[in-house]
Amino acid sequence: MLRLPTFTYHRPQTAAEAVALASEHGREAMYVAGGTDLYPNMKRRQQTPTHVISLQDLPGIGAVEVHPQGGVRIGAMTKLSTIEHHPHLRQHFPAFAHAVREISTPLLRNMGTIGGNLLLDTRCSYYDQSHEWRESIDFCMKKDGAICWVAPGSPRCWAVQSSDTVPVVCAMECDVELVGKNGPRRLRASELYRDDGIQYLTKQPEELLTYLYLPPATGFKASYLKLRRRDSFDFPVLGVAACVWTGVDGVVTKANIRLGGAGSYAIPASESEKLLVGSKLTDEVIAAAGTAAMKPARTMDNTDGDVYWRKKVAPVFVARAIAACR
Amino acid sequence: MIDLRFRVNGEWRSVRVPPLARLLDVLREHLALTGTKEGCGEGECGACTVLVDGAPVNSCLVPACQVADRDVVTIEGAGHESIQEAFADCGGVQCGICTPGMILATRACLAEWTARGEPCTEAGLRRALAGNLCRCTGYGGIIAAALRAHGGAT
Amino acid sequence: MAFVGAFTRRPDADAKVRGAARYVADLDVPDAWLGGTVRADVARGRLVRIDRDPGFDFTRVVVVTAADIPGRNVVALITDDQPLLAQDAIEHHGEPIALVAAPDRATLLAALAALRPVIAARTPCFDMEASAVVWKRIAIDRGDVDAVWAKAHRVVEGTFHTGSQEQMYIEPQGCVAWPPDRHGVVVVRGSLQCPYYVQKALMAALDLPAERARVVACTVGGGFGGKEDYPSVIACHAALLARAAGRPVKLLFDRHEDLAVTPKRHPCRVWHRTAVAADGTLLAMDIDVRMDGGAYTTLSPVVLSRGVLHATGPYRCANVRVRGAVVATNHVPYGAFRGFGAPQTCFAVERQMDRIATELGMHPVALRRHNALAPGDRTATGQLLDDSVAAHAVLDAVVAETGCARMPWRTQKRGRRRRGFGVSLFWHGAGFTGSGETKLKSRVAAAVLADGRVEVAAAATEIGQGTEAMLRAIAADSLGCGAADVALTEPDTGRAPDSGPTVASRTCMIVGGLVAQACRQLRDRVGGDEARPFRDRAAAFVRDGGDGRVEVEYHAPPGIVWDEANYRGDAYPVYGYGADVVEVEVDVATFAVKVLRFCTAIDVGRAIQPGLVRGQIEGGSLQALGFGHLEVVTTQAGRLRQDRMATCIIPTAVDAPPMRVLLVERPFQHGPFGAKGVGEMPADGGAPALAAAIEDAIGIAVDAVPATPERLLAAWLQTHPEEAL
Repeated sequence: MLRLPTFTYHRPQTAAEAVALASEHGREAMYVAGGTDLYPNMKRRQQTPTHVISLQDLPGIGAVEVHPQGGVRIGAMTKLSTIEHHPHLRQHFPAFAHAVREISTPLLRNMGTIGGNLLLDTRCSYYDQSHEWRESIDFCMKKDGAICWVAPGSPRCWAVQSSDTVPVVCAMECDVELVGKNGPRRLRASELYRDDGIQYLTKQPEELLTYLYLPPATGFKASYLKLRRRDSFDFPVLGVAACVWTGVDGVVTKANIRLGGAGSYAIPASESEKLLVGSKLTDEVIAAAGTAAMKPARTMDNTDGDVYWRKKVAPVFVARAIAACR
Repeated sequence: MIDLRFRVNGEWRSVRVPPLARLLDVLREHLALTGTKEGCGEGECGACTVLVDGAPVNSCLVPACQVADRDVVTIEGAGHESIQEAFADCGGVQCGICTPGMILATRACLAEWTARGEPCTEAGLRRALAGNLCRCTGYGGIIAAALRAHGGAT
Repeated sequence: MAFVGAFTRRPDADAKVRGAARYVADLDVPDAWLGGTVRADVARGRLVRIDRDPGFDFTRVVVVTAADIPGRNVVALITDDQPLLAQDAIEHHGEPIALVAAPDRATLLAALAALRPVIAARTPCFDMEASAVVWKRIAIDRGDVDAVWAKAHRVVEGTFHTGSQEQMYIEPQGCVAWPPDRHGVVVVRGSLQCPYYVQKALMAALDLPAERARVVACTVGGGFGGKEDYPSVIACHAALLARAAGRPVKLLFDRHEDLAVTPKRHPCRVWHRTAVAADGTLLAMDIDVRMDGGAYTTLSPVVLSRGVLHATGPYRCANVRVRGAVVATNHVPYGAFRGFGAPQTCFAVERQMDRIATELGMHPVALRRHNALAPGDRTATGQLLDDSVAAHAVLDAVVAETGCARMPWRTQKRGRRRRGFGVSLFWHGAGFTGSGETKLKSRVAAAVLADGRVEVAAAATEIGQGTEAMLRAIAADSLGCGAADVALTEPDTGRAPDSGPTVASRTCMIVGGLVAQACRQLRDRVGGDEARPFRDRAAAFVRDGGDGRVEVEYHAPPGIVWDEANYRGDAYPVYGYGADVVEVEVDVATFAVKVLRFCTAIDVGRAIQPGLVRGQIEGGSLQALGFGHLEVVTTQAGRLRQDRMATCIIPTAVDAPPMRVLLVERPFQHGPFGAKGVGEMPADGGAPALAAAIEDAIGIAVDAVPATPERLLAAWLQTHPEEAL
């Protein structure tokens, strides 16, 4: 019966208060924004905080602010539907707006926030199951168990990064702002993530994500491609973001390619990036860059979609994502 | 327990509920508004769709405390007869279990498009209703109903 | 005729669009407790004992085990082999072991956790090909297939697989039961298709006579066969708990429990060997069908029966051998799902027809046209088709609409996204198989009320398909009155006679036929000047002491003869026919399949309510397309892998293609106003047409559904090994 277990619900009024609460309760505490990921996970006992700290009352982190220099600051509590319909974001950051529109369903996007999506729990076909199902396999390393069923000999958890926005913000070199015990700090979004299915974030547990900063939309083109069974609801089983900077001569000066749904973080396709820099985006170069993405696409049996199929599609998607940046 | 005060179908209501009761349960069990249905309990079907401040959401995922002082519309207060009439006449209803959620999601997207001056298209409707599952109709009757309600093609 | 054939608003629509319709979970039952089930967590074993956690105070709840069943510990249906609560043997995962009722959710969950069955595990069997236990075998023979092979121009062989499929009604299953009242009557209300099936089960379990087991169907939030037999289990469980608790008990499944333990479509393997002449004439069809029935018999024998009877497709063939078996495994029992065995065998024969067309270099439309059943032909069981035969009509209709007969078949396509088309031709027997209807002897009553309205009493349930509107239209036109002058009773065993279950595409033809018959008799009996409104005449008739009640019973149309022992004769009173054309685009890098267009022509004899018939066809067709490429249902150690709606997926509005529905009406002389059935037929043709379209687009054999991208990639690599990683 899908009801929430009991826990203490906090409604701090300031970020400092929230951080203090989180520090006080340590591992027993979790922040909740829209609740669309946490609450179902709690119902299935995948996450079992006894203190839930709601961010709904925090002031000033629920809006999209366009800066005169061209950058955009998005409050972590901004609803995904606000972003997807935001005229400035749609026009100047189409890849980002598109990635947001690809998340789950219109109903979920009316509840879910950008902050929540950026910090989305990693997923796995042995973890995102009913409690009874997980119990039947004696649970897994990510929660209540000892073994990672994806790779039973492995000392680590291989749950997969499943946010649609994470590959895009990493590829676009966005920044995020965190507030901790010592005040705010700003860092590259890509520095927020680590390659581990359980400890998938680098931030301290009490650190609170407050803002996402999009850089001025000049000099680059970005794209996002998502693989899934249905054109709604489903998480990505592969999500490729590409961001390419080109000079006036059409020669690539920098390229970032991130593979979502392929590992515990948005994996950089470094070889592909190297192949692009210094070249024009010809069909041949793009094809080669696609092929080079085969290696980093470490698809494993951790999500819907057969491993081989996802690995086979990865280079194709990388090539298509790069081509979309022409 | 909290004393939850919120506006339901235009009327201010107060109920004493656990803070984390699902909005779905508050509506169905405390306010006897059983028009809101439970299909899955985890945001994967849309049968429990209600409008919170005009936006359609899955009430099975909304904790009661989150709607304090806010405006909630359920199928019982959906008004907007033209949408209901169109669903009844265009094959938008079969077993009816998805119908309340489907009607509210339709109402919200039509209102939003009207406000933004966007056209109502079949493709747009399919995207807007993609969080509401129907197993009976194949969606054709629902799309036809929404188009008629908007005054478009029938 | 004012209502038959007209577009009228369905009578249940107003309540449904306003949220006023009451489904089982919406019932306000004062003092009701909540029920729950303790289940086996192994696929096979022996129940040693049930431990009780001494830390839990069991006086707060009511517990029921097999020892507490006053009647027989069986789910009474066809073969009484399935226990209501496990006593000794555990045969499938999730098998019910004990029941709990508690005053609130928290106590219930605690009590369920405090009951710990101890089970000694045994080795389960999950492989239907290896299973030695056969629930049912069927053989159909016509002519002599073995005399043909040597003479044939070609002999074509194929093996085809279809996966399981979840009904995924959006309303989970549930029942509410009341304890015996002062007259000893037990009442159950629930989300169910067949009140009299549930009554039969209750009578056996609680040792009750019929008059003390009353079953009422609530508004039902979708069934599709999934609420045919399983509600008997839930109803008996709820009634046992209510009896033990001395108060009403609600036993409502959440989605997880519903997915984990309720029956789904039978996985199936069909082998075909076909002898053809150079012109495409089918000379001999040799067919072997094997289905996984799961742990108990349930409805498997009749699912197999419908499967094998549809295994040849709507094609003429003088020499036919069909062998069918449905076998036991330790899977959760498979059961009824729209189509009931026919979608599986229809998939196989339609893919086999495409295979033959390819071998002969014939167009698939031409091959089908050449062999399609026509009036005067006989089926594999020797049934003479002389009335309402529309195989050619439906094929012609989709061909005219789509132009698919001129589209080249299986030519080499190029490019990243490749398009293809597929066609399927199918049929579906209306009503129960064989002598089922004759044995069932369905009854319907019609009675004039004091105000001159007529109350029609039938146990047919409204599960979304439009029963109420359809029966009302038939009654009104049979009586010659307004639709508002017809009242329908609730599907209530206490008030409505047994008009049979709401299954098998039978409600319109059989129940509707009985309604028409009863109403015509009533109209004759009331008599008077037909220029005057019927209602006035009827009111006067009963006021003057006339007997305003008619009850009729089903008799098979004259000449319908079925030999159950030899599978010979008239398997169904009549068949409906359908043809689908699917156009797809396949991405040869991702193997994502997009259905661009879907066109279907369905012959229903007569569309009593055309709007509702279209709704049935569109909804059933989308389910069939989902079966074809999207809906994966698999098990792991006997446990359903997809036990959440997030993983057990069905098409959304963006996945559904635009649909063109063509109604073909070839009236059946023994159907009400010419009507046959419609419910199941749309489930038959979508998957093979979709598979054919994929095959046409990318040139690989699609012999198994669901045709997921993974499967397509694997098949592609068979012919393109250089693309392997």
